[in-house]
Amino acid sequence: MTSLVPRSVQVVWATLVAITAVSWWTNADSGLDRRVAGAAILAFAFAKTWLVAIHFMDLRAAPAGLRRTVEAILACSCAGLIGWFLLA
Amino acid sequence: MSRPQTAPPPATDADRPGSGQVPGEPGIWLVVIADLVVFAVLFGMFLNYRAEQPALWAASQAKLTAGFGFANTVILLTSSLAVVAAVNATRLGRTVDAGRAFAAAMGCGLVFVALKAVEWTLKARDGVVPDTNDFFAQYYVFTGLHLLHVLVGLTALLFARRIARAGAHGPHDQGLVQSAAIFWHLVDLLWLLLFPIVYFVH
Repeated sequence: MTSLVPRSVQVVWATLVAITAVSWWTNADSGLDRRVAGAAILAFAFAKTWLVAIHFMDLRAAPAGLRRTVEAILACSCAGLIGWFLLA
Repeated sequence: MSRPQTAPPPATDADRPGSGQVPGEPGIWLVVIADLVVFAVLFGMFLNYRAEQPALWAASQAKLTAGFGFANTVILLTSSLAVVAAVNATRLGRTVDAGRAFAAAMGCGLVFVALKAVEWTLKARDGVVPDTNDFFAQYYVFTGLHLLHVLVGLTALLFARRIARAGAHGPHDQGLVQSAAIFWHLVDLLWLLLFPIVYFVH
């Protein structure tokens, strides 16, 4: 069954699990400033969604227009939420 | 166990870069885009409430069990891996492998649902319900909305498994299978945002 999953996707899966664990640590034990930690958690979260969109949802091989549309929505959402979090 | 075709299509994304074809049925991407926008707005509202009641947010988040969220993240990511395997098996005509991979993904999804039920039950026993405060009202709405996506996704995977097991003849069947997979990855993607925002950001 493993042969049915490209090695690149296996690496992405491990990366996503690792980022999630780091995000948990960033919140729990890092001692970082609340605003820095919150912005970092949001940035990590959106980085993970980009990896899922490109490697799991097959956008890497999709038409450029579709890929850019989804990437633009993720980027705008990320910037908007981090900005809102820091300014509100 | 496996029935490779005479000239099987490539099994890896790396083997078919820039195919230029829309993955799945085009309509599924309208669902993806609409869901991304709706959840971005909802998360914005959540952060707005947080800004008005930061102490309440921090105190309420401290009552959540992040271990459930982390476990569910790993479970959903693993289910996505199984779905990738299922789609590739379907492309290769390996119907038995496709059926097993879809079943594994659905098994992960059911574990997610079970863990969510346990988490909600434990919270309710501690007296933490939607009426408790603004944070928990949104916690239950957000996690409930996501759980609804999980249930829809599981239904889609069930249909995709049937199509894959029957051989997924033709591009239409292949597109339906891949559309179900894309929706399931969307369920995964939304959780990757929901978990850190609801459980950690305060």
